[in-house]
Amino acid sequence: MAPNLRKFALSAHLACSVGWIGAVMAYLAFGVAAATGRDVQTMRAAWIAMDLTGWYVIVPLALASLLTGIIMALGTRWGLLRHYWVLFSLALTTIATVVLFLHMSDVSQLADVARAGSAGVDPVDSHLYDRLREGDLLHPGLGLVVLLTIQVLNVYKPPGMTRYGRRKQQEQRAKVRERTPVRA
Amino acid sequence: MADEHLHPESGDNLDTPVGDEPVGTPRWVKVSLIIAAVVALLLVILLLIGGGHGPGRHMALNSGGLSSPALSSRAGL
Repeated sequence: MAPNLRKFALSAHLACSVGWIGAVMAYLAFGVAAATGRDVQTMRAAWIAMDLTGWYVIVPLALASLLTGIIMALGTRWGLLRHYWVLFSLALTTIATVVLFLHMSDVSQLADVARAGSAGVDPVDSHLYDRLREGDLLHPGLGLVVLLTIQVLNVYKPPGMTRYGRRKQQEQRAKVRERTPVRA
Repeated sequence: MADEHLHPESGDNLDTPVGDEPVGTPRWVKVSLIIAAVVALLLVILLLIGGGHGPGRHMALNSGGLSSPALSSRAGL
């Protein structure tokens, strides 16, 4: 990857990844407000805010972070499957994105209950209404732990190559040896 | 001033020289895999006892497929 293109891709990846962490922190604040808020209006508003923040900020940032991360890995010498830290980052980001999608459909249903209010709800919605009072701390809390773990992995880059990475490295060294002229 | 930690042309981080990496699976990878296995086991136990949390909870709620704010407002919810 050309240096300028690499810097652009790195900037995009950093913006998306750090933005994802920041958006989850904002989501966590809404989750805490829903769980601890004394008035019903605050609780409903928090769930509607979680729904909007999740779909329009966190989901796009998660997808963009995953995509730019793959581009960065494939476009540099690190590769996607050569180093354990890249492999772990990819796996954790993919798991976080899948769980996010599963969770957001849940959040949307609960936000719909919050929008509808308490008047005239059927027994099923009444059950969901009880869940509104629980707030949402588990998902954003665990999500933050996972995202910060990925960030630490990306900064420290702990050593360790996969078998695939070693094989590729040996192949590249063999090619270099073939190209290098033998001096008598 | 050039960053001595970056490759002068590619800009790659050179903090971890590829050629000097330890042979075999590093300890941090083994420890991480053990932690991941324990977490997965805990999730399975939570699912089995039914009182915890898991994907099934989401599936039960979401029998109509993925819903977004846009979809919900279109459906008049």
